[in-house]
Amino acid sequence: MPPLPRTWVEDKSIDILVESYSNAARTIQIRGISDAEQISHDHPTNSDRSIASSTININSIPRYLTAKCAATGVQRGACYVKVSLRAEGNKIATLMQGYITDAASVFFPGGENTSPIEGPGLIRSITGTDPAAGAEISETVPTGARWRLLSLTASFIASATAANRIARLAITDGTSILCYLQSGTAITANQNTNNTWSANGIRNTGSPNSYEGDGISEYRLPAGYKITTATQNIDTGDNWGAPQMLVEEWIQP
Amino acid sequence: MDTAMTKYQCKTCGGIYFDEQPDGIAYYHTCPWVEDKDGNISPNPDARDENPGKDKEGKGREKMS
Repeated sequence: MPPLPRTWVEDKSIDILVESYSNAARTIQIRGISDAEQISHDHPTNSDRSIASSTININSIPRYLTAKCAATGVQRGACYVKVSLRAEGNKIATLMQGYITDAASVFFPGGENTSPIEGPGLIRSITGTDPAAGAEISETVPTGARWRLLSLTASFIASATAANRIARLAITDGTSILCYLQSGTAITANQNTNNTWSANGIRNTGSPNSYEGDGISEYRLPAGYKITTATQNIDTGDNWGAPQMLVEEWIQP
Repeated sequence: MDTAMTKYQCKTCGGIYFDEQPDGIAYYHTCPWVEDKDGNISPNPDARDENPGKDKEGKGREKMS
């Protein structure tokens, strides 16, 4: 019996390209089968949301393929993977892409291919920088991330200098101020306040019973955008504490 | 999860921060803008920005603990 003719692709050099973006160093387990082999590959990610790539040499097109995180405690929004088929070094198909966790995989065939900014992100509580006396809070959306700010809380201790300070949160694109979210209640000399910006508006301990101003929940901020205070009448002896932020975070290559 | 958090003080702005969050994810400090005598704010020319791809040293940082 004569041998079966080789297919077009079997005459090519084919491989699988794995590309990942992760906010911490992790191992992604790629497992599957083709007609010619079992596929088992451990892919190391970078830790700073930058792209990490690796290849799997194969002899025939995969029939089944899956990817999951080896570590535990990895939540949606933390680790994104894209797996492509290449022939002669050129991408010819995207096999699977999406966020993976220790409990949820992406898979081929039949899996859902999703963008990294689709669906819910990773909920994080972040402690920012405690500014020096007289300086403003300033937090920058990290490289490779997109943030939705859900709330920010920070203490503000006013010096003995007489002045009516107005706590304001400013959202900037890194160069220009896009908006101010301003408290309607002044902070006076020697007051020790806690200030919260949330979806409900702004509140400080000078007005403990009501929220004022605009909510912040609809701002989606790409990398480089800044969340800062811009306190009216701030004195050199005034002191903001470290902000505590609740953010929803996505990976945005 | 490894949480080897180290505390630093920025020599440009004096801000104090940890280089890692309790969830194990790195924290990248950036300096606040500065305000001139007319109340206008602008980026600090000596700003430190630790974000990947930025790597602006500013005046450096000091390890506190």
